Amino acid sequence: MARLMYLKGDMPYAQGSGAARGEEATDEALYERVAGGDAQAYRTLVDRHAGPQARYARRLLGNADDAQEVVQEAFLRVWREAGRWQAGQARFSTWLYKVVTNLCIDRKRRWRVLFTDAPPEETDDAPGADGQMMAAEQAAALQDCLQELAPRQKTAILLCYFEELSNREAAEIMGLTVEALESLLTRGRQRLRGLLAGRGIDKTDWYNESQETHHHYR
Amino acid sequence: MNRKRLITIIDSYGADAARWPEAERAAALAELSRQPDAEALLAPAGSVDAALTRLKAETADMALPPGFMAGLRSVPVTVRQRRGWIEVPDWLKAWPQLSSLAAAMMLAGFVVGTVLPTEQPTVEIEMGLALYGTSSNSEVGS
Repeated sequence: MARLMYLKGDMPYAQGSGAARGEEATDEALYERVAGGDAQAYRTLVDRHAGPQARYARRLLGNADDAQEVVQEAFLRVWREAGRWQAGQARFSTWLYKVVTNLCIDRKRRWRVLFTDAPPEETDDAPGADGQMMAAEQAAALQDCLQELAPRQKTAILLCYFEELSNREAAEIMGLTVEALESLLTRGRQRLRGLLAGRGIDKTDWYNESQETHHHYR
Repeated sequence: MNRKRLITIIDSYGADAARWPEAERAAALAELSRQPDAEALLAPAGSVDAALTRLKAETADMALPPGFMAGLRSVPVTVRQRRGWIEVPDWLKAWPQLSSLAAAMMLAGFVVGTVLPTEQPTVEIEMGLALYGTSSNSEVGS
């Protein structure tokens, strides 16, 4: 592999070294090294966070290609803005979630994707002879329902339910109080219930499955 | 903790107590046990929980395209290339001495070209342009 030269006197980084050191370090410690130009520390952060952030962005945008572009932009910022990182101010993961969330929201605004509280449109999907939709159709209907939520409601649900962040961390990412976050969650979940009913998804099935979940806590 | 707060917790976080705020979980469970209509309080939230759980499982695996991670890892290289005053073509990067010579020649050519009163590019500038060639910087993620 040809070595890369930098005419402005940048120090060439060591390839493939320091992996053991990087694996044991916290995100915040790694990011402090990135501020000093440590490319290996940067790559460790990529390995840790790029996949989960791509999955989160895909759920938020509903599109894999857009999600990958968002993550690319996010990690470009990770590298470029490392010099502004102040240790102890915030967790790196929280900051990264905030960057990705804002990039997703900006992308949605740019493409003028509108979310309203209007009732969902009637679909052409007709239930089968026994009244039940096929599993694949149900999965697609679920994804459609999630994408129909208002952006902030969807973001709140994704952060709390899918990413399993605490309410405090989710609120911090969204720049809200916990009370405001809970309001978004409540409205989002109510909206989702209405959308599911409107799609003809059998409510009995979902309820029976949920009983198995919360029985552990009775 | 009271009934009103319990209902807010259920409406916000669902029927699964594992998802309730940790600081309030025990008190909320105790309050739930005192509610005569506890099942009715949980049922609507439980139906949404099941749908979200199903959706989470369906979207858990996201196959990233080949080269995506490699592109992200190469960001430091790409950014450094763009910051350079003089961009070095890829074919020249393996020759450190020639890289420096090329840079010096291009700079000299620029200086000479701006000083001499001529409408045509000088030989030095032409040589610099020939060595510069086409930028082949790769975009992040490609």
